[in-house]
Amino acid sequence: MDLFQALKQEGVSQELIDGVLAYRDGHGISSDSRVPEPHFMYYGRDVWEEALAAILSGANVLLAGAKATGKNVLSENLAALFGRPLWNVSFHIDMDAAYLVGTDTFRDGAVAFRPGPVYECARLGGFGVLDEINMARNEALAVLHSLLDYRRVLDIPGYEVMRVHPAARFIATMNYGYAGTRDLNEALLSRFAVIRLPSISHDNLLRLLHAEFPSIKDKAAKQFAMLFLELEKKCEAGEVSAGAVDLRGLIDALHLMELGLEPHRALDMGITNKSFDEFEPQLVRDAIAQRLPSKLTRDDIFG
Amino acid sequence: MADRIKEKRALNIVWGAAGEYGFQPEFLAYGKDGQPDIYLNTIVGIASHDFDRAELKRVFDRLEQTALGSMYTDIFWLALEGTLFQRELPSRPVLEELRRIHAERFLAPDADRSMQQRMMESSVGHDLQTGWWRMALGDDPRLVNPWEKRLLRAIVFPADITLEEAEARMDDIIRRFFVLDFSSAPKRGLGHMPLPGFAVRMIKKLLPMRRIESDDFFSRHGGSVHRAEGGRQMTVSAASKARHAFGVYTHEETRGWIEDHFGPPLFSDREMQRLDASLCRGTHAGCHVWFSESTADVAGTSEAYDANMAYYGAHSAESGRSMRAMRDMVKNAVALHRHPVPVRARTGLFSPRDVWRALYAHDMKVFTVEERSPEPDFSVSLMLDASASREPQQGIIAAQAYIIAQALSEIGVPLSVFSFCSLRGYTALQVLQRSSLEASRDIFRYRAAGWNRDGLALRGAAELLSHDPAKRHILLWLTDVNPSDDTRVRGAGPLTYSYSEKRAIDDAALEAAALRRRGTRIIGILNGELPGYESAAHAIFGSDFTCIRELGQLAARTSALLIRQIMR
Repeated sequence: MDLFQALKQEGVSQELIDGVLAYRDGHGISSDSRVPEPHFMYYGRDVWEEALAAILSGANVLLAGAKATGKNVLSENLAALFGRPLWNVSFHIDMDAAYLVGTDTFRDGAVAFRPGPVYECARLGGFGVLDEINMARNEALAVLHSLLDYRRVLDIPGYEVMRVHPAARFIATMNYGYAGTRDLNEALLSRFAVIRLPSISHDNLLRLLHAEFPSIKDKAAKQFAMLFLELEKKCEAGEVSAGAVDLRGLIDALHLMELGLEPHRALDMGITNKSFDEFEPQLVRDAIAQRLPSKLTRDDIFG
Repeated sequence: MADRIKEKRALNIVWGAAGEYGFQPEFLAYGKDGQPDIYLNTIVGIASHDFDRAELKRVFDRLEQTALGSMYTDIFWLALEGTLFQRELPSRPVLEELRRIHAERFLAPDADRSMQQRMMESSVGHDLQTGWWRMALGDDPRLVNPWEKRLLRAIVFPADITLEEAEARMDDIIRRFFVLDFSSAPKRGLGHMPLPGFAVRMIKKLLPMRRIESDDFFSRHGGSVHRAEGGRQMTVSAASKARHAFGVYTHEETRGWIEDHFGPPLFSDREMQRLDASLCRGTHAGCHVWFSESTADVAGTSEAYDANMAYYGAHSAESGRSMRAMRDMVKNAVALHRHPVPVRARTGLFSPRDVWRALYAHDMKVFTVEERSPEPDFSVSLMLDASASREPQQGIIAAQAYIIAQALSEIGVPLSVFSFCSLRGYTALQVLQRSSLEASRDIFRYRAAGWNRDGLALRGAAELLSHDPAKRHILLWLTDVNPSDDTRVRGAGPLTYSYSEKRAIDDAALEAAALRRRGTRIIGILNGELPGYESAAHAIFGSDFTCIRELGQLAARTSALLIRQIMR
């Protein structure tokens, strides 16, 4: 995937694209195997421009959005575009500071420091994705404060003060308002430039489907796109749970259809069966029936 | 319950096609099998999207005010169906299949129909629809009557017609086909009835598509509880009957009656006597307590169970959402509050005192990490006020209790549920669910009857909680903060006082404070608003209460209070 070409097609400002090129020249392209090769492209000029501007200015970024808005896709795209190795850290309630920055271990008969992913990322100038950052406790997150603000240092008690590599950036993701998540504390929030990711539009969804499935027929792609958006609306209205709004599930289902699995069975596996409510799967099937014929075949979908 | 689920499906089909949720459509369609008709409900949704709903309602209301109103409505729907099908087909190609399936089902011969039904269906309306759906399948409509043939052609409207134009065309159809002498016929609304009576009856016999006007979806359940004052089956003497006529019963008769209506005691007779002596003192002297478990063979519980289950079933979708929301909100608080347990490990915080193990025992676990205990160290008890004032909301309260039980069970919080009410001097605490990690459907045995001597109930609650092994207890009390009992309070002298209003509230507040001193956290969940409830609620709960007016408020408000108690 040529991200630079894709950004030009998105209409992203040339000035920002030039800034990325200058950044790459300045820091060199890492040969680390951690530099990602993205599978999906994030579509959305405004979001791209906000993210590029923030990173070029030296800021860390918080991507806030509902499920299936492309937070992790964009994070991966950014690391690839800037040519930096990527560290992914999934936050959860039981995470502590030691998990993030590192902990003592025993090596060759002596206590030694075993660095965590955030430490390594900061040291080597990577892009660190702090996924679902609002799931962790505040005391675990406090260790990130000096890393993320103007100080750009990580002070490990008993060890040296590590200065963050100038190329390093941290991209946090957050599913705000989702039941079960907590609000981010203000001290941490102020250390990020916050970008709100919108729900995927119909047009971008079509582009995504066509990019992932080059042989998909336009008519079929439109119906699958509308199905997803209708399920999204049904979820917003509280009629179905978020489990039914699964873009990854839809794409997985299409892959199964491409391989020849009967489409409705594939949709059961990718979407319908993800609701364990006794009543909700019927609502999802009704929504499917309002978009897709009962006797759909692979040839109806793919050319 | 099944009907409500079908209605919910039909509504979702309409809303999905309309691209808008929550409104009440004027029509919902069901097939001969009683299941929602996907095609016709999609058409209703498309109509709601493409036309102004208020205007659409006005047109249908106007049509229905006439003597042939129901036939005009069906004819207008046929016309709209044709229009909307053409209009929407390019963007929703599946309509072709759905329409074909609907038409085939409509035209399918139905061997179960009686001869009488078949004769009734030989009518104008049925012929018209038959012709219409044959046309939809690309077949000849096979209408013999030239009038019917012309009518069928007239209701084919263009795809781009506006609602105003459609209404005008419908008016024209009525004038041309249904009014024999427009100028001299009496003016009664839009359409008239110059046809013979038998033709009217025939026309009124429409096809198997039922038309249901959606009423308030979340209708209140009208179940009633079997009143506890049902009397005991026994042979009574004439003297007993005389006594009973004046409401006078011996202690044994009363005890027997209580056992019949609340179930056998949880504890031995000796223990029950001890509890009576220790709990029924002071304000509650002369009263009795009863601890039992609600089972199916206790009088009245089966009826209550059926009524409560019916309510829950009718609101199962909303209840499910409430449960999931509460579960997700409380989950993190529970996880945060799991007490830390230091565990030896190969990495983590260096533990100098263990380093010898590395040197001499070759055990590299000379570090510690904090793991969170998998189980929370607290339990929750739900106390349900089961007095007669709660009867109108019996189904709601049972549903609320079950939602809370389910939510907490999914996050591993042990929960017990009991109800209480006061009758014939007894305050009976009935266990609906023993402390468990699984929500029990026995909660739906909750039934409301009698009075509520809250202060004594709280003493009883303390007794029940003393058997709970958890370190900490949270008591969730579903109440209307209106304690009262017909058993009067004995004063120091010969006077007695009613257990009601301020005296009863103060007593409940006193007992709640005593329970809190024993380490139990108390949260009030109020249903309904009686005058002065706020001051009563403050007196008993402090700031730890919330008022729930509908099921949708339960999750957020209860969770907030629970989280506050868990985090303290």
